[in-house]
Amino acid sequence: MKKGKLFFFSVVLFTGIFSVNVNGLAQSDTIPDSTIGNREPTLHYETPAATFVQRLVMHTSYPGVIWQIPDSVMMSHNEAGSLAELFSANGVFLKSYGNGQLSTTSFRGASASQTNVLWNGVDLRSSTNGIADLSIMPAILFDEAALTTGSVFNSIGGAINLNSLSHFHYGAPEFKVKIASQLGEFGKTDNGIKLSYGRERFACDVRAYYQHADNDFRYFPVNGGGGSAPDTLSNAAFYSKGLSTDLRWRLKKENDNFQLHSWYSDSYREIPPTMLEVSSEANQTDRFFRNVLSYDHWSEKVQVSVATALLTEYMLFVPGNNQVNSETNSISFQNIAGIRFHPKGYYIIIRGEQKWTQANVTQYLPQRTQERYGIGMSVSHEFKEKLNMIFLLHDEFLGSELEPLTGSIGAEYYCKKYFTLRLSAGRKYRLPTFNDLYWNPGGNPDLKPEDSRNLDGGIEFNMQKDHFHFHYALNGYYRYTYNWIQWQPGPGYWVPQNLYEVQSYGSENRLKTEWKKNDWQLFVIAGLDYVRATNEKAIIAGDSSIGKQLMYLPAYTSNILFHAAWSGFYFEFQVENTGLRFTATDHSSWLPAYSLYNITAGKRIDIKGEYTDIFIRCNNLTDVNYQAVAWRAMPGRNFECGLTINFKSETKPTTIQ
Amino acid sequence: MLKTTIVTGIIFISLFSSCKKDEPPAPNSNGMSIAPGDGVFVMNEGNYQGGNAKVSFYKYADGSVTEDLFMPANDRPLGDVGQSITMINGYAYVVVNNSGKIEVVDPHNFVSLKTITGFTSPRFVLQVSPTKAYVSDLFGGGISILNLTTNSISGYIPVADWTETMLMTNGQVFVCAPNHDKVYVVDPNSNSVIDSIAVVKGGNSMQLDANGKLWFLSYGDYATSAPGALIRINTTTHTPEMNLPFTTFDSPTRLCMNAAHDSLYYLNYAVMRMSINDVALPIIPFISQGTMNFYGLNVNPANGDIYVTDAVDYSQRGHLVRYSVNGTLLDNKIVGVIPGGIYFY
Repeated sequence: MKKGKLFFFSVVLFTGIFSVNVNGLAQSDTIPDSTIGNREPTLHYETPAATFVQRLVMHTSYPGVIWQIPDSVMMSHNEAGSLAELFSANGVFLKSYGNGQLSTTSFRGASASQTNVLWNGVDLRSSTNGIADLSIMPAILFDEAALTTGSVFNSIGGAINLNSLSHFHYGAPEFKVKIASQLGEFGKTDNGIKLSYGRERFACDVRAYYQHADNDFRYFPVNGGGGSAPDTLSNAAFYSKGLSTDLRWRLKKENDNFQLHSWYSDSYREIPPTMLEVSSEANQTDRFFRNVLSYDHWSEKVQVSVATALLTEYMLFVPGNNQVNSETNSISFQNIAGIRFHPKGYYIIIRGEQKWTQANVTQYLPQRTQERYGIGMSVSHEFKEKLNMIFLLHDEFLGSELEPLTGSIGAEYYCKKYFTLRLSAGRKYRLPTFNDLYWNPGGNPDLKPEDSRNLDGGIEFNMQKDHFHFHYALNGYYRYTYNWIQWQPGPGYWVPQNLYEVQSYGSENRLKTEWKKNDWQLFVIAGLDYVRATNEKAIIAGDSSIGKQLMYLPAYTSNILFHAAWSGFYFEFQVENTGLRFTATDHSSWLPAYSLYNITAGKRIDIKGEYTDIFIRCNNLTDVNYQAVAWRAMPGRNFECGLTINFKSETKPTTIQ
Repeated sequence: MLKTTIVTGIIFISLFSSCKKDEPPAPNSNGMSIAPGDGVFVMNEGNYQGGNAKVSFYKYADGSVTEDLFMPANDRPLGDVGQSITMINGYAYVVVNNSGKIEVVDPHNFVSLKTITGFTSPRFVLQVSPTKAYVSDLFGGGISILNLTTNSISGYIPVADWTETMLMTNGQVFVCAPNHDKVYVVDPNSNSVIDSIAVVKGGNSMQLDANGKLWFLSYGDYATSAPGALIRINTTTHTPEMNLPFTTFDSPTRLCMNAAHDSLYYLNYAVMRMSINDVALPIIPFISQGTMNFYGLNVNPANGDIYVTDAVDYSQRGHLVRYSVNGTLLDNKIVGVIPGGIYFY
C-alpha cells in the first residue's frame, strides 16, 4: 500500500502538475485514487498521465497550483478551437491581440517568455523571440493540458504542459474516430479530426486540423473619433492547418516503450490595424515541424528514458508599407536522458540534456548558434506517509559558460483526512533569447540571465461525500527576479537591458464543487487571483514607475463557471472578470476592468463510452466593448455552434492471455 | 470659493478670447485659450500602437502644463505616434505618424479643423509657398505635396525611401534621407529632385546659420555602426565645406540654433553647444543629462532658454526641463509620454 501511494505521489511530484484531460480519451487510463494502492507497477504499465520521458523534463518541478481544467464535458465543446480559446474558456488569463492573433499567457506576474510551454517534454518557446503562441496550437492535438504556476524547472513563471499519448488496446485492435467542428460568426470555422488505432503493442493517432476566421466584425471605437460610428475590422483574416501523428509501440518485453510524435503546422494571419491606425498591410506566416522520439524502459528497480527532438521553425513577418520583411529560420536539436531509481524508499532522478539551436534571422545574419548542456537531479522521500520532501538541483553550460546553479526544496504534508499543505523555495533563471542577444541594431550580447528567488506555499482541502465533491486550494507566493530583461528605445533603436528587479507576490484561490446524482450533475468552478508585481529598481531620475504594478498586469482576475446537466442536456454560464490594467509604467493611463459573460447550451449523448456533443454558444453575451490590448478591437456579442462526434469499431471479446 | 472664482474666470476668459475670430471656435474643455507668445507646445510621441500621442502646453506666465490639448477640444485622442508640429498661416499642422494623418488645428484652442489623410507614415511639414507645403514620409518613398488652400494632397515627389527633416533656402528645399548618404535638393517650382549632396547616412536634422550655411547632423548607420557627422554645406554650390565626424558611440540628434543663428545646439546624450565658427566638435557637455534621458531639444528664440525633454523609460510621462541660456536649471515639468518636439509659440 505504502509503495503504491508513494509511486503515485512521485508521479504527481515529478509531473509537477495536476494533469488534466483535454480530449476525454485519456480518461480511461487515468487511475482512480482508490485503485492506486492495489496497482503494483507490473508489465501492463501505463502512466496515469504522460510517459516518464514527458515527465522527466519536468522532474525538477514542485507542484505549484494550477488552473485545473475541468472534466471532459467542458472540453467537448472546445476541442476544435485553439488552446487559447480553451484556456480562455477555463478562466486562464490571456494577453490576446484578438482571435487568431498572438495569444500568450503568463502566471504570477511573469512575462510570457518566462513561461515554459512544453509539448511531450520539449520546450516550444521560440529560440528567437522566446514566445510560444497559443493561438496556433489546436486543442485537438493534445490529450492532456496542464498549467503549473509554481516553481518549475528552468522556468521563472510556471509552465504549460501539453502531451499526446496513444493508447494500447488489449485483445482485438481498436479503431476510434473523433470529428470536431465549430462554426461561428465572422467566418470562423474550426475543424479537427483524430483517428486512433490501438493494439497490444502498437498504437497510433493521426490528427489533422484546419482553422479559419475572417474576423471582419464590427466594433465601436472607444473614443475613436467621429462619435460612435461602428467600424469593421480589416486585414484580420487567419488560418492555421496542420497534421500530427503519434506512434507508440513496445517490444516483446512490455516494459520497453517507444514513442514518436510529429507535428507539422502552417499558419497565416493578417495583422489588423489598431483603432488609431488608418490601415494595415501586415501579415505573418508561421510554419513549423516538430518531432520527438522517445524510449522508456521500466523495471521495478529502475526506470530509464531517452528522448531526442528535432524542431524546425519558419516565420515570415511582412510589415507592408514598403518596410523590410523579417524572416526567421531556426532549427533545434535536443537530447534528454534520465534515470530514476529508488534505494531504501528514496526516489532519485538524474537527468542530462543537450540542446543545439541555430537561427537565421534577417536582422542578424549570418546564422547564430547556441549549445546548451545541462544536468539535474532530484531526491524525494516520504516520511511516515505524512510528509514528503523533495530536493532538486540543476545547472547547465551555455557554450563554455557555466550558468547559475538553480534548485529548490519542497515539502508536502498530509494533514488529517482532508488537508494537504505545501511549501517550497527555490531559485530559477531564464536565458536571454537570440533576439535579445543578436538583433541588429540593438541586440545586447552582454545580457545576463534573468534570475529569480521563489517562495511558494499552499493549502488544499478536498472532501468527497456521497454525491458531493468539494475542492478548494489557496496558494500564496513571493518571487524576486533580478536582471529582468526589458527592451528600451535608445536614441535610434531599441536595446534590451537587464533593467528591472521585479518583486511579485500574490495569491490564487481555486474552488471546485460538484454534485452528482442520477441524471443530474451540477458543478461550479471558480478562481480568484491577486498579483502584485512591481519594478523595484530605478535607473533614471524622476522615474515614477518604482513600486508600481507592471504594465498590462491586472491585479485581480476572477472566473466562475456554472455547469448544470440533466440527462445529457447541459447549460453553462461563465463569467470572466479582468481587472484594470495600466498602460504606462507611471500609471498615468490604463485600460478599464471588464467582465465577459458567455453561455452555452448543448446535448451530450454517450454511446458505449463514446460521446457525441452538440452545442450552441453565445460569447460576450452583454456585448461589452472592451480592450485586452490598447486600441485592439475585440468582437462584441457573437454566436457559434459546434459538433463533436466520437465512435469506435466494435471490439471483439478480449482474450485473456 | 477661490477655486470657483478661478474656474469662472477661466470660463470667462475663454469665452471672451473665443470671440476673437469670425467663426467662434468651440471652447477647449481644458479652458485653454492660447495666444502667440504664451508658451511652448510639446509633441509627445506616445508609444508605437499605444495611441497615446498628445500635445502638451507649457505656459510661460505661471509654468503650468496642460498635458493634453487635443482630446478635451475634440473629444477623441490625437492618434498614434505624434511626430511634429508646424505653424502655417496661423494654423498648427500636427503630424500623427502612425495614424498616417495631419490634424490641422487652431492653435488657440486646439480644435481640429481638418484631418488630412492619404499619407503612409508622415514625418515633417515644410511650407514652400503661400499655397504649398511638403510632407516627408518614413515609408512613402518621397514627399507628398500639400495644397494649403484645400488642405489636401495634390501631388507626390519620389525622393528616397525615408525622407525626414526639410529646410528651404535660396528657393530650394534640402531634404534629409536617413537611409541614404545624401541630402537631396528639390526645386519647389518644378516639384522635382534637382541635385543631391554627398554626406553620410543617418541625417536627422538641419539648420541654416547666420552666414547662410546649411548644417547637417547625422547619427550614422546603426546597422553597420558607421559613425555620424556634423557637416557644413554650401547651399549655393551644394558642396560640403566642413565635415566633423562623430564616433561609433555617439548618437547626435536634434540640431537647433539660437535666435542669432550663431550657436549650434544638439543632443548627444548631453546637450552640446558650439559656435558656427568652431572647427571642431565640442567635447565638454554644455548640459549633462545626468540620470535623465534626454530626448528632445530646442532653444527659445525669445530669450535663449534651452528646453530639453526627458523621456524617462519611454513608457511613462516624460519631463520638459528648462535651462537658462547659460545652462542653469530653471524648471522641470511633467508632460506626456515620450516628449519629442518642442515648439515655441
